[in-house]
Amino acid sequence: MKKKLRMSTLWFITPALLPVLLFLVFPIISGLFISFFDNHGTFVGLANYLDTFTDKRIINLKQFPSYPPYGALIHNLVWVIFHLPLTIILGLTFAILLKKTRGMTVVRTMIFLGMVVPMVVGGIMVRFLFSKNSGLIPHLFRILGIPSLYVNWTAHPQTALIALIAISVWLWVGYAMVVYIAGLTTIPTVFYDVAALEGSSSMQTLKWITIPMLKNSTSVIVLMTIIWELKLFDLVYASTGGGPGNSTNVMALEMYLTAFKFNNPGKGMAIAVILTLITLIPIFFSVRQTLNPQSES
Amino acid sequence: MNNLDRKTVFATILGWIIGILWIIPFIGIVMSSIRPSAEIADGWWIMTEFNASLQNYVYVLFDTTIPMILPLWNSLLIALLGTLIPVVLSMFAGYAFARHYIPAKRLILVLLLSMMAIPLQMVSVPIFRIMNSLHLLDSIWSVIILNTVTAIPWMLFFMMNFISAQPLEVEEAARIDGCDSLQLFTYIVTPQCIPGLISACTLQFVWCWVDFFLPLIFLYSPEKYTAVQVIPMLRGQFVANWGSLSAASVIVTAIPFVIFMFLQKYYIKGNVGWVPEK
Repeated sequence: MKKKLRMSTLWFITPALLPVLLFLVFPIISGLFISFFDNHGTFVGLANYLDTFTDKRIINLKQFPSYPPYGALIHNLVWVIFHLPLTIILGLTFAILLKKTRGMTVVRTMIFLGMVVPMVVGGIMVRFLFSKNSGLIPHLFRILGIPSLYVNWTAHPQTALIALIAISVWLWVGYAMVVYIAGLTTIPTVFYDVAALEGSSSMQTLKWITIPMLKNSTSVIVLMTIIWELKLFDLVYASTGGGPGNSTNVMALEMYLTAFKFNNPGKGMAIAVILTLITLIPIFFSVRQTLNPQSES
Repeated sequence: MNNLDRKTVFATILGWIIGILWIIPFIGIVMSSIRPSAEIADGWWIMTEFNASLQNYVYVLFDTTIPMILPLWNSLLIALLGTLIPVVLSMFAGYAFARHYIPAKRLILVLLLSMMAIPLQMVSVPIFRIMNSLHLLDSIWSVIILNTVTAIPWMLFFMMNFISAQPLEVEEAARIDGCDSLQLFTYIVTPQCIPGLISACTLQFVWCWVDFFLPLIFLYSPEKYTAVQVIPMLRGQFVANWGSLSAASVIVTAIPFVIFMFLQKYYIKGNVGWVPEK
């Protein structure tokens, strides 16, 4: 094979790469520049970043252990802390439960449906499920005898973020489930036969065979879930708009509000750059793992 | 043996319970979309009175301040063009990346992959200014262009992987028989890739359809709105009209839902096709 770039190759790749360069790569670089300027086009160095990190709407730990608002950045972290483990545990449980059994395809479809729901509709669902009068969840708590939770959840800073995280788990678990089911089918059944022969309990089998063999699936799910959590926008916009009292605000929403509603594109881009850098952390680890296969035990 | 059967029965029952619990919110939305608001004011599960009608649907489609019928058409146009354009472009490029020599191929691929991770917020302000200078603001083309360039990175990767997995012998035989690059691509490679193309199309169509951020920043005349964009506008600030809101929700969810039901295999393959084999 001759190592020479042929003309035909250029005809094949340019129509795809040129628009990406013009409408994606160039705006990203130009966005980075904008983050160093104020609204009048004066270079201000890191002032927009400083402004962002000292902003009470971004980080606000004054009432931290009690209830939100903690600031948009911290809300994203809270989201990861609760949403990621729930996704992994529920996804794996559902995958193992629904993998083989006959007739379970329908149930799998039921759980996966959340993935095709527009996130905006997800936001409406939050309002619908957690509204005091017509919502199922508050009525459930009333029946259980906890009247303090028989309220409009999205109207109170104590409960709004919890309601949103709960719905986001409900919408996203289907993804983890199908990735795990695909992973489970690649585990040779002979492993389980041997384990059964050796008298291994189901918990031991899970711990020593299933979970280690699903390592690749787990790292993909972790990566995709964290990216998804950091990009959250529609769900919050459509349900609470970041309220009440900023208690459900997230970085992507705060960026939109700053740049397009409060007319501060410089600071808006600074928030976007911070969000992008945070998103790149899990990707960096995932790429490193893919490039160094020997690091896998 | 008996023990195993009992286990299966238990798993089946548990599975069904979870599945039904999982779709209760959907049942709720559908129930309130087909009933008058007065009936569901204290909860859609109350069945003392039950009058089903399509009144709410007719209202949101034709009679409300922003009738959904035009936004649905806009969404359809955006989703169709935002799917077909990147699929065709990525198919060509993916083939070249799989089979041709390209300098710095690895670097280009890593850069493309990192594009996939970047939040749309990162391009929002500059792309708004670019579209403004191109006089494409408030035009569905601005949304279509952005849907295209955000899809190309992953589609190119997807198609490249798919083509690399096809046997090389067929292409070599065709080349010996006198096919040039374009013929080879049209008659040999593309037909082999149809399953991959369907996967990419279903995923991208659904993503274009449900996308909210791009229409939000680019489209601001009511006659340009997309269906998903209209939903939050139907939501009142304090009092929600659950009848029309849920009918509108059912309508915009129906399209991705139907696509998923018919092309489930492809949609899921598109979703899990990223897990490394080894």
